[in-house]
Amino acid sequence: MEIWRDGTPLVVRDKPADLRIDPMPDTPHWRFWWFNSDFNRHHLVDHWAWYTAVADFGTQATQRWIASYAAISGAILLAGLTLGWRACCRPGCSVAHRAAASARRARPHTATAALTATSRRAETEP
Amino acid sequence: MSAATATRTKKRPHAPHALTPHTPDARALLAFLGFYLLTASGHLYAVDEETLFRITEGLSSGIGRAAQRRLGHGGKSQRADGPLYAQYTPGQPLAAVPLYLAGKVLATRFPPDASIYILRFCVSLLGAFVTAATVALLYRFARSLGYGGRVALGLAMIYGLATTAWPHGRTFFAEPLTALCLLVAFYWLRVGTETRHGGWLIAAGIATAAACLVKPHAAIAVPVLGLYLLARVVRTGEGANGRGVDLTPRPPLPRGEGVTRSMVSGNEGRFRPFARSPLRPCLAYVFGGVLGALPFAIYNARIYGNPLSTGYVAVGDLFTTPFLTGLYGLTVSSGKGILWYSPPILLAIIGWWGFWRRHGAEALACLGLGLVHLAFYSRVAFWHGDGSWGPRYLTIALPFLMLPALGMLGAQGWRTARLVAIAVLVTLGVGVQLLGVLVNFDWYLQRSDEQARHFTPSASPILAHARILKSRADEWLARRLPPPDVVFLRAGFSYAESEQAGALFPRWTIGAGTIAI
Repeated sequence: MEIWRDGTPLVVRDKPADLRIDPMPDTPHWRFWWFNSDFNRHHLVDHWAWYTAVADFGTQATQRWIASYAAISGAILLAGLTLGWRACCRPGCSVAHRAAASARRARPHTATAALTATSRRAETEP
Repeated sequence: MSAATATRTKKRPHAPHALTPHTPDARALLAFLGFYLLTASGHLYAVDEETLFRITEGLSSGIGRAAQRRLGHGGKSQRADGPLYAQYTPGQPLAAVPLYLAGKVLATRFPPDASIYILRFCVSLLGAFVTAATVALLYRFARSLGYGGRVALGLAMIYGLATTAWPHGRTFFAEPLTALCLLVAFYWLRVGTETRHGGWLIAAGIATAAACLVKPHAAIAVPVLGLYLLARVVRTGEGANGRGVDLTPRPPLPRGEGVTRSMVSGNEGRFRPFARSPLRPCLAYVFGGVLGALPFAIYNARIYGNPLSTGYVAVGDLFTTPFLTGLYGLTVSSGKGILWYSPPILLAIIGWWGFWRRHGAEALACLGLGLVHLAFYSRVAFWHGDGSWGPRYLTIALPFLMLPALGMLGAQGWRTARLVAIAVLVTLGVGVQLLGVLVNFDWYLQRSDEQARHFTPSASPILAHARILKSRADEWLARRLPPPDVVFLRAGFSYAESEQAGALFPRWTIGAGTIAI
């Protein structure tokens, strides 16, 4: 076989054997080694999206799985980050509000104050 | 006046607020859960995890037990000729049952042959939920100790991203859940003694028993937690003269960043009567423990014929490693040392003194829990817990080992030096965890010698994973973007049939052959 481009012959090479990843096997035993053995297949990374992409599930199932899982987990991540960000940027976090809140906190806790008062009385009473 | 004072004195401080989406720890939980789900691997790494999966399958199917003889896994039998049961306790599989059932529902939307993969995928996500919960609880714990939001969030993020908690959260091993149960017990012991609600102490007892249900070795933490409870009860208890007893004189707290009003105002349980007798809170904790352990004892009696017998081997066969070998291996060895795998642990070591000055009982409990686990697992035959990233068994003690880092994160003075040290250690930690997350630790495990892997610096998995990651990236990049004058036989070609070694042709095509130009 010869392949040419613009009059220049191209070198034909076989795909590296380690990078030929067979479809995900059917049995639990061989599936386990499909993920965890590195001798005859070189996965790029140890990540669910990679495994799904090379498992040969069929284009539609692969896209559906990756999109739905990434959307759900991404939405959870975004919800956490957004709520956290809003908490940091809410009006209560401004300097003036923080100062007011600090002044409120400066007043001793009711129960603690009562206990401290009781202790002081016990110390002063004969 | 005295009546009014007495009424107010009896008023208990408020219990911790409930976990709602508006509480900061719930936000941390959500953010970390999403992150861990996105970075999950979606598969099982070890035969132990496969065994735990089979037990989950058994429990979900209503069988209630899983015979493992045909798998050839370790286990125990009630009779010599009886069925062999998995050695693992049912706590972890029980926790994974909801995920298994979710996988069952999900699998119906995929082709039938995909169900094996979908079920394992869903069950393997338990670690993500558990580790995110641990991160959120660390945040809440730090806040309850009086540290500011930024300091608490810093601790939670360091634990969640820069320690081995992240890679271990991608596995289905029992250690992350054990750590969570023990941390919950620790936190509830503090809440119970702070609020003087016996219910929290009963709950702490149940959480401790749950930890043992997940991994029986968690029992080594019970004496330390018990001593912590005693210290808290004595400190907050009523003395003979009707006044509180404070065992450790604490210096006045500095005010500033990382130290909030609640720390300074003495909301530390000082001079607060707990109960008429310090025995009552201890009994509440023990009662909770017994309550939680009862189902475990029944399970053991049913499976192994003895309530105290688990599937694990006898204690004598467990401790076969020379203590110093294990200790060196778990702490500073190049292949398994916690200092290399979780560099921010240095922040905790440096910050412990400052943490102790503010929270003596908590600091001693954290130290005790760390030392107990270190001493125990240094002698265990399988001390390295291999098939994992770093020292697997120390994952249980990791939240407690990291908690004293608050002393460093919330300290005053040496601001620039402190920030530089924190930034360097956290960057190193995140880098190390990325190597454990991007590269499957089984890949290097299978092609390396155990002794060299653990003790020879050049054969350390940290360096090996960096090499593997680079070679994989180069390989796939060369395939994806080949040199301009090279074409690859991409797909659809059978093997070469030439008698000349290395010749590409002749060969058959399988249907249509594809050539990448």
